[in-house]
Amino acid sequence: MTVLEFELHRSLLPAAASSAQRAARSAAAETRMTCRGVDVHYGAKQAVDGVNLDIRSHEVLAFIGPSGCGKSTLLRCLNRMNDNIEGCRVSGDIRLDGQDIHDAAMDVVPLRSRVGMVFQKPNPFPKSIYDNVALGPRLHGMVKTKAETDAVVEDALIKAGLWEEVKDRLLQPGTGLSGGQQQRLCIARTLAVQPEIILMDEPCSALDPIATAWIEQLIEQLSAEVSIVIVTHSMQQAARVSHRTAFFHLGRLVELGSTSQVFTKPQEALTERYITGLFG
Amino acid sequence: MSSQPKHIVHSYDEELAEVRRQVGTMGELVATQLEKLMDAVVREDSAVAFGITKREAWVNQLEVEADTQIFVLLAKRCPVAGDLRLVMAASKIVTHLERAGDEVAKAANVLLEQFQCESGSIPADSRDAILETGRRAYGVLREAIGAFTATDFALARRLIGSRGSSHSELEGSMRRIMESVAVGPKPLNDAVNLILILKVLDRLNDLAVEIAKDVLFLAEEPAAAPG
Ligand SMILES: Nc1ncnc2c1ncn2[C@@H]1O[C@H](COP(=O)(O)OP(=O)(O)OP(=O)(O)O)[C@@H](O)[C@H]1O
Ligand SMILES: [Mg+2]
Repeated sequence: MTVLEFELHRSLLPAAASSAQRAARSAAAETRMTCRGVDVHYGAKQAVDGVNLDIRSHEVLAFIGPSGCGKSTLLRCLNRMNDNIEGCRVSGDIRLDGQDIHDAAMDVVPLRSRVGMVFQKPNPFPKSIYDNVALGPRLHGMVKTKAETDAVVEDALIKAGLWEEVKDRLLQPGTGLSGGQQQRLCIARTLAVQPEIILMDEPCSALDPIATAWIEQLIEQLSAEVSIVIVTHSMQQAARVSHRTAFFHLGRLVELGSTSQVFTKPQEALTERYITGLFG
Repeated sequence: MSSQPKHIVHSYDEELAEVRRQVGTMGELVATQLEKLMDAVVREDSAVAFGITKREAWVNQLEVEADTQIFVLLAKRCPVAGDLRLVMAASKIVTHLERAGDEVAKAANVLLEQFQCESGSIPADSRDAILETGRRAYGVLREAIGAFTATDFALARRLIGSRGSSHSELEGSMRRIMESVAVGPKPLNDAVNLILILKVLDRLNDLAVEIAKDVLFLAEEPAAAPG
């Protein structure tokens, strides 16, 4: 095969090339966030127990594990959402690009725009589609003029794959969209403030397979620019979208490995039992 | 004695057990075919050899059934980890068994041809050489299937390790066949037929070892449960 033929051959296989590129990028990826010895208590009850974990640039990291194992709690640690929960106490060291997120110098508002969150139930503000997206950039002083705001809104909606569906009704309420559209609106809202890391807590659990596929496609695209941590109860979803998978049990991180390894040859018997649905 | 962990969904356990059972049945049939082939060689019996060629259709039928079961299970259950390895191993073994079935039928056809030709029989020394190779292949095949149904990784490893020695034995057997047919009425014809059969039997030994390797594919077990 000549070089030209090879190139032609490769150009006909965009999916193969892009997944190879992704793998190469993931191998060269640097660490964005680190968790060391993270414990979380709700009153006397411990929900997260001594978790050590890194989040790499451009990766999709899936959190899996049985209900109540602390996935959402740990996820909320990453942008200090637990600060708002009464009785919740977080200890341990969590850093974003080397900076301690609990440091006095770290302002929680910019932290939450750098580390954005998408929730299980789409929760648009009771405002127009436009305002849902524009609110964040305005709040963070990222836009000054109407033209700038328009551009940011359009860009975020395009990236979230919603623009074509809503461009003619931007001033209608966001709550009037379908569930899948609302979830993409919430993703657009998160994207509008140009996050570096996006946390997603069961983002597809209320969506049908088509809407789910759109979100999964979006996750794949977004990982070119941001890191994504996704909590999911769907083993197949974790297998489909993530590069690495972390399995939690009773607040502990049991196993963290490449998704292909975890779903073919898990290292720990507990992981095997959970993902295959074994008991006894 | 600790019982095997079960799936929360019972019907999933049943479907996986069904795949195991189908592989066992197919293995049983192919081994029986090989046994009959040895029988046809010993008794120089065309009817037995012909029966083998007829039963080849059953082997193919079982392959289709097992493949379909595996295909549907993959689509419905999306197995992962140990379940995925079991299903993949079963699928590989089914493919190897189907080839083994083909090979036995091929040997049976050659045998029929040999019985029909002028000499019509097999010189004693050739027969012994063929039976030796055939019985060895039969033993390995049975054990390989047993290693799968009993999930016996030590046995699978032993079968894979045992393969090295038999190649030199094959050369010895070929020499014995050449020498024993040389004095007969149709040396060239007999040599071609009998060596073909010998080669098929040796190939069956290889396929049985491949099946043992498929069993080891299943062996990538997780570490013991903590606590
Ligand atoms: N606000 C809270 N107050 C008290 N306990 C809480 C609170 N939130 C969570 N917990 C407890 O902490 C533990 C971990 O909960 P968390 O919501 O993080 O689990 P999860 O893995 O996300 O579960 P699920 O898969 O059901 O969403 C659970 O035992 C839960 O009951
Ligand atoms: Mg949760």
